[in-house]
Amino acid sequence: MLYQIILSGLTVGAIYALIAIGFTIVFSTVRIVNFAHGEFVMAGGMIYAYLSAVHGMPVFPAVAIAIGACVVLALLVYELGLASMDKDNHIAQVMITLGVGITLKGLAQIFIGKDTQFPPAFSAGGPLAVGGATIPYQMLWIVGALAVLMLGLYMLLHHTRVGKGMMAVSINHYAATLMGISPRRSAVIAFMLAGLIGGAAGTLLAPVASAHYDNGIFLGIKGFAAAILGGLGSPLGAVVGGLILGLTESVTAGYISSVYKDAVSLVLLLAILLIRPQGLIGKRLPQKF
Amino acid sequence: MVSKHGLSSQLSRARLALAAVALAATMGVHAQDVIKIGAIYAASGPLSLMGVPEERGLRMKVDEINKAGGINGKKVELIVYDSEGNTAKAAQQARRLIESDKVLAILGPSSSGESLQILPIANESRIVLIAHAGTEKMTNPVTSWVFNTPPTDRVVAAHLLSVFKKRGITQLALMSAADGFGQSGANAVKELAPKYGVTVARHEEFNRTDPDMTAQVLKVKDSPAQAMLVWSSFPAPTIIAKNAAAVGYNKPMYNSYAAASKDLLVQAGPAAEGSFVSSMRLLAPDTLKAGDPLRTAVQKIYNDYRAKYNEQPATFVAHSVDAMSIVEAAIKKINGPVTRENLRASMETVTHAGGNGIFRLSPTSHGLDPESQSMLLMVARGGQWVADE
Amino acid sequence: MTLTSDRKLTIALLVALPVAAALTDNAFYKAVLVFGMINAVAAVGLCLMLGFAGQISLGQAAFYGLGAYGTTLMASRFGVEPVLAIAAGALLSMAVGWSISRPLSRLHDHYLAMATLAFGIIMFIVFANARSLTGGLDPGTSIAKFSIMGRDLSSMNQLFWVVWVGLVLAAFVAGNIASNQIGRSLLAVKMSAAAAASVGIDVVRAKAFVFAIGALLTGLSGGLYAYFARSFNATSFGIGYSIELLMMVVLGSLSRVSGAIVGAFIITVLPVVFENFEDYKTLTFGVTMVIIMKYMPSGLVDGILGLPGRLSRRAKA
Repeated sequence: MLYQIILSGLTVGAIYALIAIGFTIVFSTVRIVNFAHGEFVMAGGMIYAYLSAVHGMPVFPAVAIAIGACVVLALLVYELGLASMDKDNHIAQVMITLGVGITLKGLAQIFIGKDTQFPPAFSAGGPLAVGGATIPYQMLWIVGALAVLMLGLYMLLHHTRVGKGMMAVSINHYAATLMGISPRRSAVIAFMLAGLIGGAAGTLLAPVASAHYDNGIFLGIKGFAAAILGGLGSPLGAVVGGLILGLTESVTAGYISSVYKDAVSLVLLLAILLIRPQGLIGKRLPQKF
Repeated sequence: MVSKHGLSSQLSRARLALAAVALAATMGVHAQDVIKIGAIYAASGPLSLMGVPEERGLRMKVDEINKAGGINGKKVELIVYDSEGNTAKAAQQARRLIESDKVLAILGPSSSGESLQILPIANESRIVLIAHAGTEKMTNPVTSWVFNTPPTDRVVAAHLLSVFKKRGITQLALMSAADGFGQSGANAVKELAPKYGVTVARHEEFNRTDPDMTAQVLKVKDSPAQAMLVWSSFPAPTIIAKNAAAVGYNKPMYNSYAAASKDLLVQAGPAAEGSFVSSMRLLAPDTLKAGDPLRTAVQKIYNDYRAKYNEQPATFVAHSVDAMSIVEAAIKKINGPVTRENLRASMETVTHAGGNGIFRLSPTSHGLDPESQSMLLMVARGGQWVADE
Repeated sequence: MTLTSDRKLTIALLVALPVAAALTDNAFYKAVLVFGMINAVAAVGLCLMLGFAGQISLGQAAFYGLGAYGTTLMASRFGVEPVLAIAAGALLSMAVGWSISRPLSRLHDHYLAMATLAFGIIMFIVFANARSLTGGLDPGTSIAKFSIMGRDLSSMNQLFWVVWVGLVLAAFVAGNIASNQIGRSLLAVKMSAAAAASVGIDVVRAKAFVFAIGALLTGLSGGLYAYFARSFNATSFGIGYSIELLMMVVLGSLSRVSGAIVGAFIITVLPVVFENFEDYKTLTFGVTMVIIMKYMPSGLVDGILGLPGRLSRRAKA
């Protein structure tokens, strides 16, 4: 039983991690928490479900279109909502993302509908038995996608010009500008990446946990908690945070109390923040002067 | 060409005409020729699984009434607000319907919490409220102005527990959602279980939208319980069915009426096969016995809904269709002007065989009673719901 | 200068409310006004924390709930006079606000946002499950009608004045804090905690103070809500309300008491106005919010007050 509970916890944690990475990428370049991110995840799942249920589209083209749509959405959010805002007025920018999130929810409700949908899993077949425990194939897709995305992100940030520019912006916005790196371009790429990863998370998640226009806030909070736990701005932190969160929830539900599983994982998060206010892997940011 | 003067006089004439229409609308036409009915449904938000079918059912019933020439020759006008399942909003909307829209009666809201907040407002404002709440507190004790159409959670719980008793299930594992709906059902089951000789051996909770409930299912599997009862609206029942199949849970699974929907069978596929649900008859009217007293009423709602919306009705549809049917019957019985007070008095004389059961309304009964025959056990067999009693 | 204009504007709003109420005898409009004022009391509390001291809180619904449940328990279990029950609820909320502020004072910005969000969710789970005290999510709890010394004051007209007094009190407390030395030290903490500490301001104490007062006012609002709703359950105290409060404070104008009041009314009234849009109301609300924040990034009140200046500058240019 313990083995199965740990396995389930880690796979759920992988979902949280996927969502958390989107928060972290945007945060490191724009220094705001994108409250609309949960809605990107929602949109990915909803568009995938819509294409597959209404238009009978096969899995992979539907997934590709859904993810592409989320990239475009994220780009629009940045260009129409945030690009011309005062960079230092963080709270106004956060409110814009909140408003955009509500807008996306409204759009999904009108154009796709209010039904709970379970689009098809990426590959057919029952759960896989792994030494006494089972894991659904879709969860393997999720874990695999997380690994591929992490590798891709690492390559991008450390081995390409664009990625190095983003790193520079995240370390020191001002100095990067002086070096001829465009913070705006970095922000655009960060948002598109967040749309890509969020949309992918949504399509991966929908077959196991359903797609519904109202799920964005729930997913967003889990992802935000994971990102904070690991330390905002660190993709590795997002993964660690997500896995810890998923594992804590699962073990608490299995051995302590399913009623208080969220409370226990959040108390753990608070305790970690009190010991390490910058999160587990986060770097201590200089305070505002 | 219109001269400047001409245009403005035309405009003022138009304005005058508009004002006259508005005046007629507020004074004459509405008061005499139209029956205004207000409704509050959670058409969006976490309770939209109930609110959406309720609203559709009501619109269907009202269209039907109006196509047949209205009630006593008066058309019914509907004003529907979306409460999003938010109690504070629902209360505001009730006040709006009473004070600004001046409706004759209010249908809904969808949840117990919202309904309980509106209960005193309806009684103090002296307007008929026909709620769709699962809590027996709406009509027990009976208050003058408040009625309720769904079977209460206690009725559903009692039905399931009587099934368990009949089938020799004495150890039960309860899985309920951590929301108002799940909590209400879990309370009813826990409270009534001893009366039926049933022990709740495990009680686990989950968030309705959690992506995975394997840990809870494993705890249930590990317990001495002979059956699992899931009390939650979607998507959780689907996820639990899949998780249970994945970990090899092989004891019977029962669901509350929130999962009484084709969705469970489509979404969970083979994992749902053989699971039971306590449901209103609307889930599978064609499998009802020929002598079933509600068969015709249920079949009509089912067929009308399919014809209008091109999908199978959720069982919640009957909450609003029954409510509107009762209002229609009550208005027809009124001698004299159709006022809020006369409607209230007339409501208490209505007997109606509806989708949810047989209503025998009286000054001491404002909803279904234990003899209403509301619930039926259904089983998933071959991808279809089939009556199992 | 902004401070005096804020004070004038606040007084104008407080006077305008009874005038608006006198203009209608429609109990629905009155109920909207009363609910708007209840939200305004809570928003003024958050305005002190976020606008004046830079301490973000996404857990205000917890204080709102503590106020409502504290009031209900005092009134229903111990038969305490309603006014005193509301005071007790607000004080309970204040005590909790003060005690969490110390551990939280090490956190700032997004980490503080997450920590308060976590606090709010944990409290919601407690409200939902401490059924013997709160009635949980279903069926919830209820409270007797509002009265003073046995005199029933529960009609919408009478409740209006009760809540109005609450709002005046909240505005008075906030206005005074803003204009005296504590307010200036809070401002210093907001601008730079390190610099504030270097000139001898006890930063931890200042933060604890503002958390306590913010929680007190939000708790007061919860107590008023209990008497307004009379029957309620834990769903009223979820994170949705915390986010709504944040919207009120930011949309109105972050650093003005009058902004919190204006914002509270916008967030209360807009959904009522958009009601008839049915399926389009969520979309309309979202788009409206984006437009306001994009064109008036420091909030409506600042945006509108600054309009003449901006226009004349444009005219000159």
